[in-house]
Amino acid sequence: MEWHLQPRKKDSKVSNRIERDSPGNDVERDHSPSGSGFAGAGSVDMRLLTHNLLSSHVRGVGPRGFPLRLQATEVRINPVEFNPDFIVRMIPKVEWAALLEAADHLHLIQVPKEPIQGYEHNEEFLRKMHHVLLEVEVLEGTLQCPESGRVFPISRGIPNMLLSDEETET
Amino acid sequence: MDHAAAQLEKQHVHDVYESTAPYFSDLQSKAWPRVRQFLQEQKPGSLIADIGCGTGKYLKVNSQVHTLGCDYCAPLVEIARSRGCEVMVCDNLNLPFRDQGFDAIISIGVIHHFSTKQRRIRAIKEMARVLVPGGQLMIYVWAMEQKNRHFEKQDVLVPWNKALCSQRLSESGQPGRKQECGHPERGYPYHPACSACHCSVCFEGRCNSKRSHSVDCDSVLAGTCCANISKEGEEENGFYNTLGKSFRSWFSSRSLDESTLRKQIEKVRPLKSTESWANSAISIQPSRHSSFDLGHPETLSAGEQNLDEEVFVEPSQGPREWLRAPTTCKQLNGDHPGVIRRNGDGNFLGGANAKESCVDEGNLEEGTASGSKLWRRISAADSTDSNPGDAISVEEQQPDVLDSRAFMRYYHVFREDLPILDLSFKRYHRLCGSFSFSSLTFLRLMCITLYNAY
Repeated sequence: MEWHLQPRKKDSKVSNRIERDSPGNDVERDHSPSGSGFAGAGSVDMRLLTHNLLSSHVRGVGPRGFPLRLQATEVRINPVEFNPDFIVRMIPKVEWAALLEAADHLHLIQVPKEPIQGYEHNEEFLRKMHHVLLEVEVLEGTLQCPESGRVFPISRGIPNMLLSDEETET
Repeated sequence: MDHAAAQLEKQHVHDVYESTAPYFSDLQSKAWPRVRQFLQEQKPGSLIADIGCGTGKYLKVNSQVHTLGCDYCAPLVEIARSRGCEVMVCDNLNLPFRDQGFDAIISIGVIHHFSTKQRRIRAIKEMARVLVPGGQLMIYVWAMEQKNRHFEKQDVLVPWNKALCSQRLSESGQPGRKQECGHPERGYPYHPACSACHCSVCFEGRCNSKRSHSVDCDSVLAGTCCANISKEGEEENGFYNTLGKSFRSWFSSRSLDESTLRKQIEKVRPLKSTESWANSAISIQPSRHSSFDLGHPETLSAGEQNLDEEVFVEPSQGPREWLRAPTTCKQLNGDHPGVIRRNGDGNFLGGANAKESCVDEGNLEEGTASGSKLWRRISAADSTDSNPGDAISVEEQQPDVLDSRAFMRYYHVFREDLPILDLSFKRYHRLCGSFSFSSLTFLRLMCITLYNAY
């Protein structure tokens, strides 16, 4: 009868990792590892990998709506288990210029101008990219369309990309 | 017309999900096997979008991929976020993604909520736009052909009534019996000991009860329903049967598809209160054409009437007289289908006027109080595109008590002769694929898998 239900998974493994990897961080916060095979129980906010996919859909803007200009008033670092294979596969999908710009706006560590030659085996590079793409989360901020200036809010980690009725009218 | 579609969706999709979202927060429902399989087949390191993710049921199925969830409903998105999923609020019709960003996309129980073909296609086009060439798109929608129920129309409203579940919860003497309410793919709330999860079955349009009952399913009537359900269900399959029953109750919704709309839909003013019904001047404009969407009143023949015989009643006298017909308005007191009334010269009364006119001034005390929902059915007399004899009903609701008790969700259920298996768009959209059917115990679904063949 309960085929549709499944119990919540407890995330005891995760908290150990937090303490080991990021001693200065908020240890109460669980994280949601990506590519690690385990589902976390904490909340996840907007990450730069996601920002890299976002584009303005304001009428008439088209491809000039990418990338959205990211401003953040509240950011947190949420450790994620490092999965090199995952990052290697993700690198070719990244729009690099957009990532550079976003990382810059968040005052993050210097991101390489482009993927390093032989990045697949360069752990330092991969770890850096892992950090930038998956561990930096925006809780509060804005995303601005570079063409129209329209601002989309990020609140409680959730971007709201809805346009108003007037903006979407055909 | 798109505005009317948006309004219908706002009332019968967005507002309902927003209102019912709290009930989903404690529930984790199981991922459907084929969707789960689809997700697990994706290559590691893939970027996947779940468009219409709800509470994020599918966002963690595959830990080797990066899955983004988005949904129009902010409360549901909040729930997904709290479960550790990365999500956003957005509109399927205007996806805020750059082109060709995703390796795969899933759309589970989403596009059947769009009320016009144009919008459904647009939703699919948007998903195709953000899909890489060769990327796959999996769509799940309700099928029109069902096992345990029969949708006569493709545009339907299906009730979901949590309030009545709670009521039954307290009244039920069967604590061990587990029941379900609500929508399967939305992770319906789990109400233990609710033995009749859908007293809204009482409100089924085809209910033959002659009792006038208010929206509040009183215990007597509820008892009747529950008794029926208990009798019919086997013990272990009891709740499936009940849930199946619950989905058997549905109402026709108006169809907003362009092919069936010839004229601008008139915005129907919602009823305020019975008092105002009684006092307002009732205007009858026989010159207004029959239905919102098509047909000319004079072409409605007796033959067409046979299709919906139970709802068409000939007035005994002139235009005003039918207002007082007691039978009619008794039916209007509950959630029975309303009636189309013709005035003396055979013209239908269309638009808001007819609705107001359906008030039985004499019988207002019979419990129309604020909870009634009026239904009207209008035959598609001469629509060239819709099936001959399709009845298109207009659902009109009072924005008060009833809304909070009987959430009605709009669905456009999909037929087997699905025309969208090869969609060619401009530029780099070309979707090809196949469809098949799958079943939950009580619900038959159409599964459409497409890939971007560009």
